Amino acid sequence: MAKRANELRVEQLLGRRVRDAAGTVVGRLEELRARRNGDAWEVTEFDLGRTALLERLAIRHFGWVPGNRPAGYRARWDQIDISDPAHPRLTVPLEELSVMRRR
Amino acid sequence: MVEPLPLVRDVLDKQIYDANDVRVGKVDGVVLLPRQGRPPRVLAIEISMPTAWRRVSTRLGDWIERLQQRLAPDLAGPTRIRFEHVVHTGIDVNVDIDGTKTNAYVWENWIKKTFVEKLPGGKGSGEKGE
Repeated sequence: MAKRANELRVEQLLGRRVRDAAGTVVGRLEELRARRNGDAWEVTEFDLGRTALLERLAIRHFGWVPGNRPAGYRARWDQIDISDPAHPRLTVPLEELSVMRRR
Repeated sequence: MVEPLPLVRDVLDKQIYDANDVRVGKVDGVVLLPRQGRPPRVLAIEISMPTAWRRVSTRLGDWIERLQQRLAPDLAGPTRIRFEHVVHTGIDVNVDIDGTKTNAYVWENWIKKTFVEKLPGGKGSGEKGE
């Protein structure tokens, strides 16, 4: 299978700080979630922030996360622009992301 | 509705087993293809030393790639398994293809032929993929 020029990699995106339109850091990109669509798999969601990191590490945190503000967001594929993998940006206001459910 | 697959938690860095339950390598990278107006497609999992080292340092990964090309130019190149061949993920990643039909063992066999077989007692164990 040959390399294509416009490919990108999960590991390139992992841990990158995602910023909103104003340049404020929303959280680090910690997980990419894929769904099967016919024969192909597609990335449909991105998880951001500390809650996402704890989920990725499979740590049960019983809802406790340091700080007061929401510690994790789930974004649809079209809510983050990954055309520059080193600097992913939100394409929508932060309020439109869903806050990750604490477990 | 089926839960989405977490690519980092359940795929990246996991051990790959082929259709014969033989270890092929670890998932060093997951390749995506961004598409205009559509979700990025998950193209393949990749087994590659430069890919793994690039996660530590891009320069180190590039250096390893150059070293591979210098040592054995015809062997250089990552092993890619199309994501459609992935049948199970979690603790391990299972694929429905035969690992010996890929180039996953080329470096292992190269090291064996170049170094290990020249050591006393180093011959006779056969090659992976034979």
